[in-house]
Amino acid sequence: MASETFHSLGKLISWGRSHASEFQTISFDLFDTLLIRRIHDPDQVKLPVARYISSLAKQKGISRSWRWVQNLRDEVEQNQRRETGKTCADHEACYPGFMEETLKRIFGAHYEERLLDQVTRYELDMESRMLVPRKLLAEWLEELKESGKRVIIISDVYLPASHLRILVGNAGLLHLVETVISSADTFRAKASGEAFRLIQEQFDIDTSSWLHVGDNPISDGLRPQEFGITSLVIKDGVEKFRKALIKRYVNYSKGRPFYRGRALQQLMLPLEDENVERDDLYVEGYNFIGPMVGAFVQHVAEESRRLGLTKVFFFSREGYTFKKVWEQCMPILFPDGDLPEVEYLYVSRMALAGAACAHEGLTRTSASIAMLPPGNKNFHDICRIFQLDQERLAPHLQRHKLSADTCLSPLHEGYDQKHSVRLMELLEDEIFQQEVRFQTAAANHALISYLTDLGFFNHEQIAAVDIGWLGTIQRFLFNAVKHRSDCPRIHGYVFGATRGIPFDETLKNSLEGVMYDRHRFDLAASSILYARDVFEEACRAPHPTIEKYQLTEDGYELKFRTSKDATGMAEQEQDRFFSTLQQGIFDAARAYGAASALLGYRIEDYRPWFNYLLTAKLAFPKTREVLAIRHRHHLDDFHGTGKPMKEKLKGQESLWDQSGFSLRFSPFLRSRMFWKHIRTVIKS
Amino acid sequence: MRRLRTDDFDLDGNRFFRVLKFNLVDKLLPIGNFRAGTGLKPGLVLLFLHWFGRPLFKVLIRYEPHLHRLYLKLGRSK
Repeated sequence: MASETFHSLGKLISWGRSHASEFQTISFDLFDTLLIRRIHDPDQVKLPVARYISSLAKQKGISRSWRWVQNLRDEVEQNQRRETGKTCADHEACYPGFMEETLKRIFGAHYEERLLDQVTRYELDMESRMLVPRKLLAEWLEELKESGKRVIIISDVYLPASHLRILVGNAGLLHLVETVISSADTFRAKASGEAFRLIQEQFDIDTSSWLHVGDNPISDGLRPQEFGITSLVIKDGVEKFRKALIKRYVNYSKGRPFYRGRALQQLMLPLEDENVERDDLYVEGYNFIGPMVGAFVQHVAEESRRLGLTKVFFFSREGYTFKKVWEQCMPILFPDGDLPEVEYLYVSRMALAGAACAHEGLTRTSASIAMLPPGNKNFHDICRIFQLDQERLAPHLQRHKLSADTCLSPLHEGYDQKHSVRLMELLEDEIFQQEVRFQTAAANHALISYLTDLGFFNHEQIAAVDIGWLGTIQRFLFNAVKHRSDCPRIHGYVFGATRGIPFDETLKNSLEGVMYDRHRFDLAASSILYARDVFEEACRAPHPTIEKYQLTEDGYELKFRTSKDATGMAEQEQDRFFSTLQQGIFDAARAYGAASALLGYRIEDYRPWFNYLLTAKLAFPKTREVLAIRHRHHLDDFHGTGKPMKEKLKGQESLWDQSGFSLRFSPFLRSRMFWKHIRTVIKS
Repeated sequence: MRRLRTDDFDLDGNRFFRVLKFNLVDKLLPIGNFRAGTGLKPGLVLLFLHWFGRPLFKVLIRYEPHLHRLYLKLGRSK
């Protein structure tokens, strides 16, 4: 019987197909043959398991570093292999045996049987996420099954067959094979050839009609050949190339932080038939925005654990994406389950603006926020935003020589500085403020009822997660609830904090920009300012924004904006446009969770790579990228319909607003814009 | 329509050549904090691998046992 070596999987399969009639039984090696690992070194999969055991031990009050746990596991496994070697030709180990002993030695009196189940489940989950079936072999397996051949899987590994069946099942191949055999069950391996003898006896197989396929020239080539089995050995140069790359990315990342994010993305790459053709936006969602959103959410979880936060509120509508990413990533990133509860909170600046005035009245800061968008011009806009009755406020305005039409924004025609002075005087008028408080009390009441139903006030410390940028939603929310003695301490985490209007940081209300924060000088991360709308649109939930909280006879109701008018229709079109990009982010989240858990890195490790990504993709994008990603309509009810003077907006045009022609042909456009950006960032 | 991964196992839309180019520009102009970036040697090794790895490994895999012996010898002599 012969052993043939192939340097291409295609050629091996074509040989197998042409000789299939000569064989009744075909056995396959599992790892690196039927299934390939995303990571070059299988031992790396053990590291997140060691971290998990270490965190479980910490929950029981046992302080053991994950490295200590890993060393102990290696030691126990080696001992078991030595013991096996005394009675068997193969020095094999069996996972349940050595893992149980490892856990007993770590947990001592705290050891419970379910610990082994928990750890095993996590290890198999990690393994499954790192394994990909080889497309060509899977197709051949189906043909063999259809033609009535006996197909078996044989593996020399420490996992018993019951565990391997889970891995093969997760890879979608279990229905194609008769049985799965592991050396861990019998300590008789392919390496010595004893496994083949055992299987031959057990399944009564005629060796002359037995074909074995594997990747190891000894275990899968020489040994079966010695036993009279025809064997095919695959030595795949492309696989070797793939592993050489991931090995270098991972190894370089240990010394050079820049490669940590790149190694993460290399691990997230789809392999075999996962790599199908996708929409341009999907690719940007998966390869560009997805990893950053994953790291942002991971950071929120780490901070929640560190600070002992008991609930995370994801603010609508961008929080929709963050929450979905959280749900995808957290089970694999933090398997010990020591995580806060999560809730999607229906909020918006428009809905909260009014409710926020019920106790403090209309503050200077709130009025400044309202007048920030260039489209907002006068008191009509203030009343629209804070849901105030303009007619009832008219006498107060008149008292301060103002009217609803008085221009209050320096960007608009008719503005006079004294208008701003009068507005400030109005805001100091207690009678005016009493009227504001009276008009907004109902909205505040409805909001409090909604928050009470969600258990908002049952927690001492909560996290509030949003996209950014001024932290207005969190600011309004805090203003609406801070009068209550049971108001929780709010830790705000936003994707980017531009802080155009200073955020009033107090002990009970803080804000952190995770990817970008104006309080940290970070030139590369500030590139996010080039295209904030892109991130907003990419993360936005596919439902209308909430307009207001209103009291009803039997409690309260959340009133959403209609989706049937022109703005609503445009928004739906926008949602459809970005749906593939969003799908890319969701799909990336699953891959991110596994890759980040395996590498054991955090956002600070990925930051240099993300800095590069933001600069390359936002400040120096390719024309094709800008045209593909930029939004069609950015809709915001907060913005009024006023037309600011052109000269006031001069110089505010960004790279992402340029035409395709300019992007392609304007000389040094990106460099000029970046220089302007540097000056702005340094000045501010 | 594109694929997430190119045939040379690179990121579509963000190939390593672009990464290296940016890192080289960063040496001259203040682009941002890349924490020492790619480094010239690792950067060139990876660029070479992405560009020529596929044909190179198709050839090298045939001489794997010989190369393995060579690596062992080199490792011992270090």
